[in-house]
Amino acid sequence: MSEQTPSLPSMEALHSACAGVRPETSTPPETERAAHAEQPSGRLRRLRAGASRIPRAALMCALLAVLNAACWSVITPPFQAPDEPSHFAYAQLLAETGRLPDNDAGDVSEEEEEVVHALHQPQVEWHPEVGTISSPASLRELHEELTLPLVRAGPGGAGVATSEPPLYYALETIPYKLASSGSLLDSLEAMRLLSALMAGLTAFFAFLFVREIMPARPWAWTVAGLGAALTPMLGFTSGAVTPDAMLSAVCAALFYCLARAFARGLTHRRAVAIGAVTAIGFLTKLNFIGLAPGVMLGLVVLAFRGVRERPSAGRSRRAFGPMAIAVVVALSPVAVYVASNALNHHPLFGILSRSTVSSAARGSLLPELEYIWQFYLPRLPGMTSYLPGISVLRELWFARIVGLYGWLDTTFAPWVYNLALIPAGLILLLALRTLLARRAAVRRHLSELAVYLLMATGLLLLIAADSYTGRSTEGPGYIQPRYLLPLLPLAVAVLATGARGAGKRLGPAAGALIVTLFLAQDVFSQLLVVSRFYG
Amino acid sequence: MGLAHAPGGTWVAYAVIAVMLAVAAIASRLVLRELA
Repeated sequence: MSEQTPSLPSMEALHSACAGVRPETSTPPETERAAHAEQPSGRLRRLRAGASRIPRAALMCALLAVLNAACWSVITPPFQAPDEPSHFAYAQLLAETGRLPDNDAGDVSEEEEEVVHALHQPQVEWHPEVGTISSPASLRELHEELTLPLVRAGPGGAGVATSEPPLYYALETIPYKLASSGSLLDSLEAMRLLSALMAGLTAFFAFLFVREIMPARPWAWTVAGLGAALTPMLGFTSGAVTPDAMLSAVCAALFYCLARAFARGLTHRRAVAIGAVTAIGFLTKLNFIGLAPGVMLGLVVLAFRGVRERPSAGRSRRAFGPMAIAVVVALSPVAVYVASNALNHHPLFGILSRSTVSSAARGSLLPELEYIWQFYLPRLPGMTSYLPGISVLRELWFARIVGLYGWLDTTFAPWVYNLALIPAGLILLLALRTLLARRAAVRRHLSELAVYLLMATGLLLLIAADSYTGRSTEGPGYIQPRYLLPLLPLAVAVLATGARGAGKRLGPAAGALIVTLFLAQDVFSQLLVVSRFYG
Repeated sequence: MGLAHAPGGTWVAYAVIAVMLAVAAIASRLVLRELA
């Protein structure tokens, strides 16, 4: 498993930080200068050693995820992924003017406006009976628009993306600039490919996360890694310009770092890694806020564990020190944001302050809690019905996880969703069997599980609360599985647990079957999108 | 698929098919190596 692998600097750096790669021995004073002179090669050696500990299977899973998302990026027509015009507008504005968007109106650049018009994007979006443009006249019109010297700097609008933090868009300015000598469609494809690379990171860290929580079953790591790499929703989302692609990767890295710390203790290096990944999460997408309480609980639990496990002298300082480091690093972007708002006399937490004020103005909390409950679970007696006549869990969440593409307008035939209930139910039953059979181990890791559960619950609550605010205009439009992609490592851990439930002898066969099912789902999903847009 | 895209032309469809075949082949090899 631990063969020499190609160098992947960013992966290695985080992997090494979480793995706590250190120099083997401390350097004696008389050889310090010589050692200092050799530092670069020593560092290189340590990086190589860290890389050699990365299983080749994890890198293969990452490669598969990138290739899969790259295919999705070609299959999905331009701007036919949710909110892609807004995300593109944000990145283009940042690249062309260096400014962040300042209004959520739809006033994008002249170039984007004209190309979107030439692509007939509004006529295709939400109309599954209308395919993408194909007539010679439409293609000629598009070609003419692409060759016109249109203004690329927008007036400052980025639609629904306006309130999002800038990190993902700042990264997207790199492929945008690299392809800017071509047309807008060249820039868009280059930006989509950067998102596809992020799918690779998601699968890679999902693999490593399951390796940490199931160290005794190497084959289960591969089931999890392949499950993540071949998840069609990850491919579709990471084949488009959207910060959800980066958020998935960041959250997968975060789950891995936490699992590593739970398995081996919270060292200073691991604390910095957790803090840095959390800070990146805050800078990537607002939805990350939902996971933050779980991360903070995780750090507190890890610190108390440290107090229990260390010798008495100075143990509190040594145990709580890494926790404090992680919290400071994690919250640093939030502190900078609040300070900048305070200096500019803006609401301290920006859009969040406005949401809190409008939430308080709505009055009673009960209707919101009832809505949040019904957003995922069946309505209880006495509750006002917000989504009447529909099983939200089965007909919306489950069906949309199985297959919903384009602007929520591309679906399979209803029988596919009914059929999918069978393998999904079997996997859940097998996972439950594993948990029951290994309940002693589950009890030992209860605090760790509680942390993951709080992270998941926080995200679910945030999505539902956001949906409550926009329910009059969006309806069930917030029920989008892409919002759940940050929890993909947990989902693939359930897959691996399910495969283990088939027993020691049949487990790997069950795992192979699960991977085959995911590959089939992915291929048929791509064919579905091809037939919807080009059929 | 090669219409109204940055990579234009019918070759795009064949390229996607080839990449997905490679994905299936690599995934199968990985399953056979790690799970067999």
